[in-house]
Amino acid sequence: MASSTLSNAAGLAILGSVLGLGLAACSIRPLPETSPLNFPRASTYDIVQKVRCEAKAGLDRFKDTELAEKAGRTIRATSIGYDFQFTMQENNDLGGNLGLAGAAKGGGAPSGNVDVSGGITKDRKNVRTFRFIEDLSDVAKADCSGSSTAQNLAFPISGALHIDELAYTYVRLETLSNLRRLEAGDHGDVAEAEDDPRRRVGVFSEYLRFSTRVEAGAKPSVSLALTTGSVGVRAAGLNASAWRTDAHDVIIAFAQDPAFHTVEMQRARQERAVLTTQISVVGETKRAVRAPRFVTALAQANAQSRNQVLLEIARVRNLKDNVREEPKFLGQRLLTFLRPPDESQPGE
Amino acid sequence: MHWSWRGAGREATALLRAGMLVAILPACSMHPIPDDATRVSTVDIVRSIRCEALAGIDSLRPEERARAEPIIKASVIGYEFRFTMSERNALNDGKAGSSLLTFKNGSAFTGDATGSASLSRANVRRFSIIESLGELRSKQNRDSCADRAVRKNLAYPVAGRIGMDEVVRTYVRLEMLSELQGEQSHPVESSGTFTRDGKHVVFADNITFTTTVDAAVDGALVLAAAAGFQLTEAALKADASRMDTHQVIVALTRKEVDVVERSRRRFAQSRRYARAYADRQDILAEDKALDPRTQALLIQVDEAARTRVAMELHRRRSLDDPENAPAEALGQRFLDLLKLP
Repeated sequence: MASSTLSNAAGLAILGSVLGLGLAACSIRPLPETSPLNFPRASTYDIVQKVRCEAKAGLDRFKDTELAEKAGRTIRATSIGYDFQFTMQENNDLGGNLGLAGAAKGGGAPSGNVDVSGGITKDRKNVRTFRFIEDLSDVAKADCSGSSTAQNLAFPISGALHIDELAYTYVRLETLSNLRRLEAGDHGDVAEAEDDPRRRVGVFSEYLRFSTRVEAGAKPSVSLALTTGSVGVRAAGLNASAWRTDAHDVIIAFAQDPAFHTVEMQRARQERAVLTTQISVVGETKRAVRAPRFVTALAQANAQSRNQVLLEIARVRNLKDNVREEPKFLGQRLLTFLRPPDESQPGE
Repeated sequence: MHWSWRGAGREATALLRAGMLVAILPACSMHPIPDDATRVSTVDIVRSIRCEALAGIDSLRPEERARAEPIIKASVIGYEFRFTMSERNALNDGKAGSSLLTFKNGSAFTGDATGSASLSRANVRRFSIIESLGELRSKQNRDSCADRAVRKNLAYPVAGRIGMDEVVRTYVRLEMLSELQGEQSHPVESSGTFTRDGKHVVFADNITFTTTVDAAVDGALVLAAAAGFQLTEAALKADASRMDTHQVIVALTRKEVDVVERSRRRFAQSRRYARAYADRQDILAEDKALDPRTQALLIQVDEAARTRVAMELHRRRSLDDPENAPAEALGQRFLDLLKLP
C-alpha cells in the first residue's frame, strides 16, 4: 500500500516538475524567440524589421497630404537612431530529498534518521545590445511588404509598438513652428505651420521599457508510516521550479542636421558654440558655461544629426546605468583617496 | 528489511561512508577547471563556438550570400570568456566542536569524538579573442569543424551548442537590413566594399550560464545501550557543492574607419558624414562631452573595427565585473549616509 502511494506521488511529482520546467524555461540560451509568451516567434531581426516598418508607416501617413512636401524636407534632413537592449534570464531549480529511518522493534520512536538531499540549479542570462543610426529617408524607402503585426500584451516587443505614431508625431512637430488655430480642413492632431518649418531644433527621443516574468513550479512531498522493526523511506519530496524574465529596452531618437535650419537658428548655433569653447584666461582654461551636463547639452544641440542622436542615446542609456555606475564611480574615488600616495596607480 | 541492532557498528560505518561519498561527489577537484564538470576542455569550448559562428555564416540563404559577402569580409568578431568555478565541501557545516561519535560506559563515562571540516577552492579563468569574421571560413577552420557534431548540453550549456550561429546570422542580417535600404546617393566605395559611414552598428551578446550542483547527507543513529564501553550515538552532516559560471561576451562590428580614411578625398560625396566625423573630433578635443562613458562612445565610433570590438567587450565586462563590487558597495553606502533621514 505504502509503496503504491509512493509511486503515485512520485509519478505526479515527476509530471508536475516536467510541466513546470518546460513551461517557463527550456532554452539553452535565452533569446526573444524562446520565450513561451512570444507568439508568433519574433526573432531579433523580426523585431528590428517591425520597428523600422512601423516608423515607415508613420512617415507614409504624410503621402498625398498637404504636408507631403514639408514632411519630405524634414525627413531628408533627419537621422534616426535605435538602441536595443534585451535582457533575458531563465532559471530552473530541481531538488529532491529522501528521508530514511529505522524504527526500533516494539513500536518505539525511530532510532536512526538519515536525510539525503541533492539539487541542481541552472541559471542562464543573456544581455543583447545593439545600436544603429541611419537616415530617416532610408526608413521611408524600406521594403515592408506584407509586414503587419498585431499587439502582444504579454510580450509587447514581439507585437505592434506604435512606432508609427512616434515617427508621425516627430515629423508633425518638426513642421510646427508657428501655431495657428485649428481650422476645418486641417489634418491630424495639430495645426499646420504657417511659415517655414525649419525653425524647430532639438532631439526627439523615446525610451520604451517592457518587462515580463513567467514562472511555474511543483513541490510534491510524501510522508510514510514505517512498520516496526524495519528500515525504510520515511519521507520523500521533490522541488521543481522554473522562471523566466524578459526586460526589453528600446531607445529611439530623431534629430535634424543643423544645415537644415534657418539663418536665425544658425545664429543661435554660433552663440552656443561660443559658450562651449574653451578660452585661456591668465594661463587657465575656462569656458563660459561650466555645468558638465549643460556643456554636453549645448554641444549636442550644435552637433550634426547623427551625433545628436548618438549623444541622446548615450544620455538616456547613461541615466539608466547611473543607478549602478554612480556608486561604483564614487566608491572608486573614495578608495583612491584612501589609498596611501605610494600605492596609487598611474593616472590616479 | 529488518533492523539489526547487532550490526549497529556497521550502520555507523555505512553512514560515515555515505557522508564521505556525498562530500566528494559533486566537488572533488584540486584545481577547478571547466573539464571537471563539463568534460570538455577550454580549447574545445572555444573551437566549438568558432565552429558555430562559421555555421552562422553558412546558414545564410543563397539569395543573401552575395549581399552578405562584403559585410562578412569587413566584419570583426570578438569573444570575452570568463569561467568562474568554485567548489565547497563541508563536514558538520565546518563548525568546530560538532559531535561525530558518542561513547558511553554506563553512566560513569561519556565521551564525544568531534570533528568538522570546511574546504573551498575557486578559480577564475579569463581570456579574449578578436578575429576577422571572414577568417572563420579558412580551410584550416573548416577542416577542424568538419567532424564536429556538438549537441546541446542542458546541464552545462557552454560545453554544447550555445547558438552562436544565431548571433552571427542576426548580425549579418541586421547589417544588410540597414545597408541595403540605404539611399544610394551617399555611398562610399572601398576595396569592392560598398558601405557607408556612420551607422555605428555594434552588436553584442553577453551570455552567462550558471549551474550549481549540491548534495548533502544528514544522519543520526542512536544505538541500543548495552553494558560496557560502547558507541551509543553517531551523527554526520556532510555537504558538497560546485558552482560553475560561464560567461561569454561576443561583439561584432565591421570596418568603417578604413572606408573613411581611404576615402577622405571623396568626402565631397559624403559631406554629411565628414561633417559628423569632424564634429565628433571637435566635441572630444574641446572636452564638451564630460561624461567618461559618452567620451568613450564618441571615440569608439571612429575607431578601427578591432578596437571598437575591444572597447565594446571591455564596456560589457566592466558593467558587471565583480572586481568593481567593493567600490560599488562602498559608494552605495556613502550615498545612503548622505541621504536625508
